[in-house]
Amino acid sequence: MSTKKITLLSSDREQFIVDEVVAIQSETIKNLIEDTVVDEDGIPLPVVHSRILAQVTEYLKKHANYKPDNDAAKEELKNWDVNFLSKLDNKTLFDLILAANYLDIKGLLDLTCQAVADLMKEMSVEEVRKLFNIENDFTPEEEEALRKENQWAFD
Amino acid sequence: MVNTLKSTDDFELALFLILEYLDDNPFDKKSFSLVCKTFHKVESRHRKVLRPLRPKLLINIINRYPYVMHLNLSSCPITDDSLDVISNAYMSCLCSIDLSRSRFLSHTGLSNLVVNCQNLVEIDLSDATKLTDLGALAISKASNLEKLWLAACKLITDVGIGYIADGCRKLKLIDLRWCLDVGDLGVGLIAVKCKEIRSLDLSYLNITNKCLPSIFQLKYLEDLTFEGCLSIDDDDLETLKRGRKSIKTLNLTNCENASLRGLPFLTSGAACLSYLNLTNGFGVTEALASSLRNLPNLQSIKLNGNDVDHSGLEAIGNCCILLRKLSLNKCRGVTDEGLSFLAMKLKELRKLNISRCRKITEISVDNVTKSCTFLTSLKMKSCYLISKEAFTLIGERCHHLKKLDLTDTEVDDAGLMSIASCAELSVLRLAICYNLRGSGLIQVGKFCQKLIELNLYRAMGIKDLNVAAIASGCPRLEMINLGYCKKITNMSLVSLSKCSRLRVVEIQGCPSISSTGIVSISIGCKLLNELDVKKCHMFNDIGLLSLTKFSRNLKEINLSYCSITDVGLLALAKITSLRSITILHLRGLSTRGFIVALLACGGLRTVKVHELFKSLFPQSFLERMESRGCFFNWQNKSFQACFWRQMILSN
Repeated sequence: MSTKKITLLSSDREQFIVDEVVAIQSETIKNLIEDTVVDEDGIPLPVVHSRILAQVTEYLKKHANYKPDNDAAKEELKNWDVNFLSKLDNKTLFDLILAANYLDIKGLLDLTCQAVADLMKEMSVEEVRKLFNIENDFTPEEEEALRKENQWAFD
Repeated sequence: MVNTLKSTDDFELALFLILEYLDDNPFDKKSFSLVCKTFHKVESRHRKVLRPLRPKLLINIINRYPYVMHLNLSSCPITDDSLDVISNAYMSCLCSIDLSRSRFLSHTGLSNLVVNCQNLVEIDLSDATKLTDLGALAISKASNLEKLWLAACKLITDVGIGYIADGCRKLKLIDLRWCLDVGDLGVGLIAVKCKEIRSLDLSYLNITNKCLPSIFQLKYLEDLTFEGCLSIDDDDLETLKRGRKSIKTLNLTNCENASLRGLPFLTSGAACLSYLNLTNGFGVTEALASSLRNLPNLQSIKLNGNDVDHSGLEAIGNCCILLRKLSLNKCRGVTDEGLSFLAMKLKELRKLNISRCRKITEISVDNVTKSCTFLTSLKMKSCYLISKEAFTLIGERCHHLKKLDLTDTEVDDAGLMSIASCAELSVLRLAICYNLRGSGLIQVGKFCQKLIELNLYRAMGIKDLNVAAIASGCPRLEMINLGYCKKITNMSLVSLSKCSRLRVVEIQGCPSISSTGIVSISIGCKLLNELDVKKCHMFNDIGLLSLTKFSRNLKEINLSYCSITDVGLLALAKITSLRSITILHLRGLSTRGFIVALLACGGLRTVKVHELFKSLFPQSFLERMESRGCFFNWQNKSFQACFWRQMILSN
């Protein structure tokens, strides 16, 4: 296994040094390496803040080369994911979604988006508003019309 | 939240990404759109697939969803005018449109559609029964079209098909099933001009051998279906020097006049052939099986309803040793000796259907389970002679089984206990298994966590306790049939309400079930799609009101012989997803109440009612329903008892 190190550079110019096999789970980083878009301090990732990149690299390190071959190992990885998610607040979760999208890390995107989606599935509209601290900007008439449309107009 | 992220754009992007994962229940996306204007905007931009329900509201939702690529209008009968609005709104964005069952469209609407929507690659016009050759001419301008379904467009003739062949040169799939006026000429034109064709369905067409040479010239042809083409016979088949190399699937179901003599000419040289369907064909003999020898990629054969002799089975065993799927459903002449030999040879077999091979006994089961240990699907419906002891062998030897159909057999609890060790099992059918008392199901609940479908129709020994074991052990359960399990009560439904993925619940003829049980199901199982409470005499308006409140995905319901009144039935109109309703007899219902309720349920497509109502419903009402695209299916009560048995046995 290659132990070549890669330096990632967050938007606030903080360096993260990881194994190449860890980093190239991100399609975007993989392409940047291939296209040799590397400045002297490392690979610049101008839209990912160090606070988020720390979470991303934690996820990538756990998942690098990890191909669970038995149920126990699969279970262990699943539990790790659940634990990883439980430590995140909503804002971080949203930032991670954007980072996973930008860095093109399918596993992380699936994990984070699914987590928010599952959260929403269980909730009423009012609860969703509360969770994300969103103000209802529909007038009562607009909301009623929309409810009716949702109910009758299409599947 | 909006403020804490870097910008509104980022927030919208994140929401957009999340929407991809919110697709189990269509109502989740609808709730999403109600949160605030930003959520509404994101959801509007995100939706690519749209299934409108009411012609009147069509314009609103077209404006709301500007990026639809796949439009399904099969539940929303539209006119030429509405189609114009659609085509002007979506223009080149639209890739596929489903106009099946539309009966008000003419060539004018279609013509505008294909002119405006240049990127259309799929049009489904199945059962658009009013469509004529002029309609076909309109379609022919869709030069990018790749898939076209015209099943049962009975007014289209060879001329219309000729237009299409001329204009739609990129066609890869065309379905002409039941286009009774299309013959050799039309099919020949398609074959000559549309060189990209991969899939061709010519079932029940009046075609003869004449069109075969051009069909076999198609370079990329993969799937060819000739179901019920009675005029295809053996004559001149020799002229087909060789079949097409590219063909992967060939379906010759019900081709009564083709026989063994012709088959080699159809299949010779078809080196890619992997699936062959000879249902109700010309019998399985040694000669037939030998003609399969030169098909190195043959993986799947359906021989349902054929006469089979021992030498035929033996030859299949010798010639097709790489076979993975074999269906011998209802084959006459399959014996233990023949099947055992076959099993011994076909070690790669994954799927085996020996339903209604009535001569086979435990000897076959012993040999099949011994040799074919990789089986993932085993169907042995109505094999009466297999002794109950034999079923334990399945559990002991076939650990990869995902699908097991033991409908109408002697299997008992000891057998089922053994079968429960198949941990991959997702479909288990035990309908009409009178020997089951229930203890076997407790084991199934313990070990078969992946179970998705369980059929216990008329397995009358089943009790609440057994259903509870299934409910707590099988969280993925989506379909359950407990019809005529007369011992079960509301307790069973209360336990099943834990299975949040449950979509289909059939509990007809369970006298102890009342509204209480259904209330639990409606609250717990939000995805409920189909409910059959026929002959649950205690089911009344209270249960129905609960369904209208919670079961917003309900599509089909059978309420025959329940204690529903006009009030309950009218409330049903709140379930906008409702497509099909069956009511054979309801004591508490007035004709007027029935009519009002049916008019209120705007999305209905099929109504099954007793034929007595035919004279009670005013003609104007029937016409109005039909103009909305709703069809009546008149049932005759005296057929009922045997009808159900037939249903279960033919599935």
